[in-house]
Amino acid sequence: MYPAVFISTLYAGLAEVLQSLQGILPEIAIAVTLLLVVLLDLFKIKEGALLSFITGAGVLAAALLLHTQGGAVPVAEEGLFHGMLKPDSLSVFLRSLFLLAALFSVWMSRGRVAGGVNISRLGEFHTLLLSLLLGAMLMSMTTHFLLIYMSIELVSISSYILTNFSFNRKSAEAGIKYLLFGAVASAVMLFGISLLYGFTGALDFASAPFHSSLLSLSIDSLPLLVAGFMALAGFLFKLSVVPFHVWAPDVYEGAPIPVAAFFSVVPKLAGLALLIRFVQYFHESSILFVSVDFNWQFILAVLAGLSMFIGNLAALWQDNAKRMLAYSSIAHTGFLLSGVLAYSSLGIKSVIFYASIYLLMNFAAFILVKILYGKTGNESIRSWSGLGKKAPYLGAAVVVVMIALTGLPPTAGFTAKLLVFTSLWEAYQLSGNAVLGYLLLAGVVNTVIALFYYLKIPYFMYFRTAGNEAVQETETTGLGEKVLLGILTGLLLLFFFKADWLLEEINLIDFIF
Amino acid sequence: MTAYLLSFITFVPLLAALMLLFVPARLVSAGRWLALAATVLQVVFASILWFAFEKGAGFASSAGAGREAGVQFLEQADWFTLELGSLGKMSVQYLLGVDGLSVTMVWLAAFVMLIGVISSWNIRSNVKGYFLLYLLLSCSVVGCFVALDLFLFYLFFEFMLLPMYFLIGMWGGPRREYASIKFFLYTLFGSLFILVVMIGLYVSVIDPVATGIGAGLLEAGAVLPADISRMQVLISHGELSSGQLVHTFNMLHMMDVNNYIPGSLLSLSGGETVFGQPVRLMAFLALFIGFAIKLPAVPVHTWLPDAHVEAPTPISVVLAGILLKIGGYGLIRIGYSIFPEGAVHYAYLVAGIGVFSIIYGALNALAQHDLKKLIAYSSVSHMGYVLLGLAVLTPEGVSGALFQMFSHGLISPLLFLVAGVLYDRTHDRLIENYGGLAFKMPAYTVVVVIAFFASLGLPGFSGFIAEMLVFLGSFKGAAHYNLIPFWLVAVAALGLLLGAAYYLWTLQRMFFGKYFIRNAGMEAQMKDLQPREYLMMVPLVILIILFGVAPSLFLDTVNSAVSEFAGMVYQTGSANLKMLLR
Repeated sequence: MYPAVFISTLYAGLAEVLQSLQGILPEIAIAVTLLLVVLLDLFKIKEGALLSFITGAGVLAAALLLHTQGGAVPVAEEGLFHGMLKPDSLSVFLRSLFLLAALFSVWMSRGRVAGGVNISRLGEFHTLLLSLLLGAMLMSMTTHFLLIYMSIELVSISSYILTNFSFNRKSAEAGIKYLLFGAVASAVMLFGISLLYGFTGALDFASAPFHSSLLSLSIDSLPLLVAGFMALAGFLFKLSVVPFHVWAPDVYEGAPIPVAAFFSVVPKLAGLALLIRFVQYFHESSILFVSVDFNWQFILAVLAGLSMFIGNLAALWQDNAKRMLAYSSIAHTGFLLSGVLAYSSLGIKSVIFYASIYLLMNFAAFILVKILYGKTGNESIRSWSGLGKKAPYLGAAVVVVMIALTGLPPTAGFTAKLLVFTSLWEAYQLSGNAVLGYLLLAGVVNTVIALFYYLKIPYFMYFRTAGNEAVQETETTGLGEKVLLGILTGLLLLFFFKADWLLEEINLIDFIF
Repeated sequence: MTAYLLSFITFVPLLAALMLLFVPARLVSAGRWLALAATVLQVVFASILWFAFEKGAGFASSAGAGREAGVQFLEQADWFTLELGSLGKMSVQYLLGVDGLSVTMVWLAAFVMLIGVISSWNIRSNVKGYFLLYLLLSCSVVGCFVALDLFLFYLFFEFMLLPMYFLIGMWGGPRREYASIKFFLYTLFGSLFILVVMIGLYVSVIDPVATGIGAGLLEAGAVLPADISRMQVLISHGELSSGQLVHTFNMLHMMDVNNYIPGSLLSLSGGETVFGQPVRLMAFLALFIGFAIKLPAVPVHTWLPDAHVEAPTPISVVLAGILLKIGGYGLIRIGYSIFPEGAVHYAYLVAGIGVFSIIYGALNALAQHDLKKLIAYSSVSHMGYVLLGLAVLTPEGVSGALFQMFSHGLISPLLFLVAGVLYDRTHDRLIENYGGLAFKMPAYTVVVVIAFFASLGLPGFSGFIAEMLVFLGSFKGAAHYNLIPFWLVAVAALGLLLGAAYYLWTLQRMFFGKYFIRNAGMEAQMKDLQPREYLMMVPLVILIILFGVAPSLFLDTVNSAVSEFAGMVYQTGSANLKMLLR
């Protein structure tokens, strides 16, 4: 019926798919959990505890699979599924962070009010959380434009809906804003990708055909730069780098607390993974990034500096804690970007260290917001006046977390900033590029600005006494949350005193530089 | 026991704080007694330290090719090492030690902290929280003086801000919130300059011993000075790959220019300039700004009057008595020791700022209505002498600067206690609201007179010796080294006159003449000194007089270190400067 050659090709193809499937067992586990949650929801099983348990178990299973065989899968030279996926050590580390973040978010959405998540929709909530997670995991392991686009959209669409999960006016407004901005960003990125595809005829930016055709291209560098920047814009949007940041404050403010915490870390780090790979490959092939007539390092450094300044200066004026944390996360993006644009293995290492610490401290901050919100029914920092004296351990945790976010010793936030600054200094010393020196100074100055607003929370909690309004406890804090907060705070201190324990893990990652 | 003496002195308060954490808050006096016990222990052990300290051993440096010289009570342990790939390793050590420059400061810190605890006895609100923070402060202050690893120093230096912020902000006066945030932002701003230099230093400096051992060229435990020189030569010829280098925060290694990676920004041969200056000179300036804010020197002093006025009395005592000294000490230990060429090149700047602080602070003090603010500005003025003494780089000048820090560390607590006594009784510190207090409170007046006279530099008190040494040193320095002009020193001498003016005028307005108090309702409160107040003031008075009549108690301890330090800074500095400005 069919020629034998075709059959054998089919077999070979199937064999590779089957072989490849073994490489993405963690993702399969997440997908299975996702389907299970959808099924439960279909049969009207709305038991919050059960849903949390199943989601948590799925995430844990994925983490287990990731670590028992994540690195051990024999990966073909070009990757899984004909080069679509590259589950390398960088992605293993980042996926572990994503799974950890998902676990924290699921943990935070337990309880009667569930941090603002509408409890009648917990089924959908967990489904969307898992699909977002799946998208982010795929984002972290691909260099293929098609899959990049698909995974970014998976993350984005889940995010648009999740933003709306408080089901109030503000939440809906934030959701629609996010959708509009996101759609435009995706369109721009897609256009950039299509241009790059047109230039090269290849979709994998890490592949040899892509490089060779870019290098042999006989056109002006301008269209190439425009295309590259458009593709980059999509990643920068996910990272919420200035000027692609305008969505962040509304979304963080409108979204339920566990969702905002998840947003502040996972899509951002997934975008960071893409950016790291993009920068690495383009830097390595010495096109686009060190093109003679165009200094990409300069552009990225300006964006990083702007993110720090605009994020921090805007955060100074916020009273809503979640909005403040949104601006603070924009500022932190500036630091993450600084490490990337140092173009060195030290830079990438420091970024990954920073990202890990950022995960810990941002989740700690959002848990604090949730606990304080539960105590006062209000997200306004002013409304938390006098709480520090009533709840001393909570107050102490606030101080540690805020100091970590500022980047002062003795917290790991300091070590993270120290490493990023070190990579900038080293890059400056090697290249003599003055913009790196200025970026270093900008980072240092921003630490002082940041202190001012991070201290605002302890300031109101300790220095001001509560007004006359009777504080009603809307939600009693579960013991679990306090334990999690304690663990996170402890880790922030531990990784200052023993930074090598974390860095040893990061050193296991193979870098291209 | 002496092996861990420094750790013990540093961490006793931390242990006490941990114990206090588990004491229920309703046992109010537990905090007081624990803090008292911890600080008494600190003073006892700091005294043992001073007695056991071998005088004449010189100053902590890496003289002798990478070997620690002059350091006593050395404690060294690896803290953590980060593998930074292409940059090599970053090694952070737990490195404590004292030399002649720091041993007296450790003792002063412990003693002032003890006086502070006694003065804190009448803190009424949230006692547990107060003493927890106080103990943390005590730990980090002492830590600053004993740390010889820059990372460790920076940890203590930064960590000090947090307890101070809360101590001023929660237990302070009416404008405490403004004062505490101003204090925090100013000092943090200063310390970030230090941070940038610290990053630059550890990127540039390597540990020859650890590098040699890591590369398999040396054997641990059998390292000779010759080996170290051999390693330094290897490094300077670039024979080791950058991945093998062990970058260090060890301040002693940073003081040896042979440990700098050739071509790195902070090496002598780097040749890079920033804003038209060699990077090393810029680094010195950055450190100078950072520590001048802490000291504080005009024009970055404006946080100090606010912080002092709003802080509760014991915190003012600690702030003036010991925290300001960390600025001066840091400048000596880090700025001057690591970048001696900056000290030579910018001597006129340091001295100029010092003299400006002396005069400007004194003029400001003359104009104050608030007694506490007057004392705060007199602190600014007195810290100016420290800068002047340091700048001239003569042994007399440097020991004058050190003695001024020590003596001011005894006198200013007494001054703030004196102001606190009045404030406790009437909640009013305005000078014009009092008159003729000598008739009502004779014992108090005696203490005030001693404090004021000691501070204005009357012979017989410690302040006199300090200021005399500074002037001797600066005149000699102006004549020999020609680093600063004569007229500058002459102008500084005006400060003595101004000091006498504001103190005597205050004395006349408040204590002499007809007895008078503006708020007549407070009449009943005007009692003379209480036993607790005697307890804190008498030891200070005794020590001020003791060190005034027998300054050798202090000078013998510091002399050899100071002369080695001054000689090293001037000679190495001049030589380095020639290399840099070729």
